[in-house]
Amino acid sequence: MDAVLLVLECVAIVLVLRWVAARQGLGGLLGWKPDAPAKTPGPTRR
Amino acid sequence: MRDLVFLGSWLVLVPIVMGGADLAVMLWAWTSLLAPNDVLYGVAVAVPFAKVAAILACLLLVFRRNDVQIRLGRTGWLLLALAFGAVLSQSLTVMADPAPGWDLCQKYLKILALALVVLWTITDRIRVHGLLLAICLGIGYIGVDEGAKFILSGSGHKVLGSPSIGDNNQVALDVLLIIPLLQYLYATASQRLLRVACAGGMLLSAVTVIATFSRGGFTGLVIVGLGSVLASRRKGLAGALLVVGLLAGGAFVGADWTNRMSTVQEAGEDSSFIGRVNAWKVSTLLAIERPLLGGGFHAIQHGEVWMSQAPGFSDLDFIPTGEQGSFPRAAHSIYFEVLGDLGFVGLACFVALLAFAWLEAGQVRRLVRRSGRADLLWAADLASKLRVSITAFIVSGSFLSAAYFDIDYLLIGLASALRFIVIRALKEKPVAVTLAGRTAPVHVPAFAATMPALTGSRPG
Repeated sequence: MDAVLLVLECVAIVLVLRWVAARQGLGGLLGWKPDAPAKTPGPTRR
Repeated sequence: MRDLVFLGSWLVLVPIVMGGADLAVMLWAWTSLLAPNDVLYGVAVAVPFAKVAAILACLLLVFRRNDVQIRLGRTGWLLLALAFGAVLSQSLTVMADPAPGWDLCQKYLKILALALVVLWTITDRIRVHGLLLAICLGIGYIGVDEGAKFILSGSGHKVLGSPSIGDNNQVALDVLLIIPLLQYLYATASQRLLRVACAGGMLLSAVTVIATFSRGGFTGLVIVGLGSVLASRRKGLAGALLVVGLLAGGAFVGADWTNRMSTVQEAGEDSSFIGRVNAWKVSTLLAIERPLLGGGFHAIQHGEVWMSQAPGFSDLDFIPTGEQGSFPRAAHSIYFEVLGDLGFVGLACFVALLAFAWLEAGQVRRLVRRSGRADLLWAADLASKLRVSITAFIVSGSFLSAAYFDIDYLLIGLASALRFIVIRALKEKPVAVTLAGRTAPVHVPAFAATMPALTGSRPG
């Protein structure tokens, strides 16, 4: 039971931190943003 | 296998927390409270997870500030004063072997640092909820684990303690303090799965407190139960649930548990209680001898320090406890623990820290009520629950050595951070966070315009 609980703990803390990061629109390591679209449009050139 | 899973989870966690110092602080709090090295047995057992999280948090505080607000306030200054006092007391300790004291001193400094960075990084509702979840997950592990074992064994399992937390009494107090926080999360959660998890966590944590056979823990559980009823918006339902819980619990526990709890009434004749009063006397005598510094961390648990107070022991005979005895004991009270370790100055700082946290939680409730701001009701609800936890700590801690626990200072930091958040929000335009995460205007009652200036207001 200890091992199962520990695995659940790990999953839960990942979800919690990911939730907080996503709600703030934060980028993580190397600018990785969990909920960001794959490509963001850059500035348009006239 | 569990080591590999845990190490693997850090490969996911570290990139996430690189997003900001607040995330690293949540990871730090979770790791400190969970103490994963107690439950790992393989390759990961030597990895200092809490230290890694702390270093990450400190680096991100410098390089990746994300709404970090460096401020001290009363709580911050008191935390710094305690840190200074702790190093000074331990440096000039009376112990012949100061090494164990230095270990505890280092642990205490990390705890104070964690509380300080909570003040700086927890600056809005999302972050408060993230930290609450991290705290409840960290302590909830032992709460759920031991509570489930007690139920599955038909009340035969007894909680003896945990390597990182301490004995059964200390586990009881640690687990007890998250029950009001779980109540808050239960009340605010919108997803059914989260509500079920919070309800299960509350129930099993309460069972764990019972399974410790700790009288101090049971006293705290009664305080948490009564406090939760009083702090609840639906007092009738909360009271009914408490009565049902007590009846169900009374039917489940065995006669040995009932006999153990009934000895609370015979404290004056109980050798365990008299031994505690002796330890309180030795702590007081040590503090009188060294009022500014105390004896250093857990000094009275050293034989030579314990016996050094024997000549003056009879000075406190107005509280009859018999002989001092030659066997050193732990202080068994947060107040006498700090008094003996850090002296009267340290005790004054510690008591002021607790008092300010309690008053600040009350101030948050008052500010929100006066403002009539619906979007800040969550803060008032959380402040009520924090007050219940802090009250349980203040009362139950009178009989337990628990002055240097992470959770105590996290609650203090959280109460202070909550006050800053509310004061800042009251200066801004009222908004409500909808389920989609977008903001919407909120109707503000007319009496909110009469709200006094908040910046200069004091708790009380």
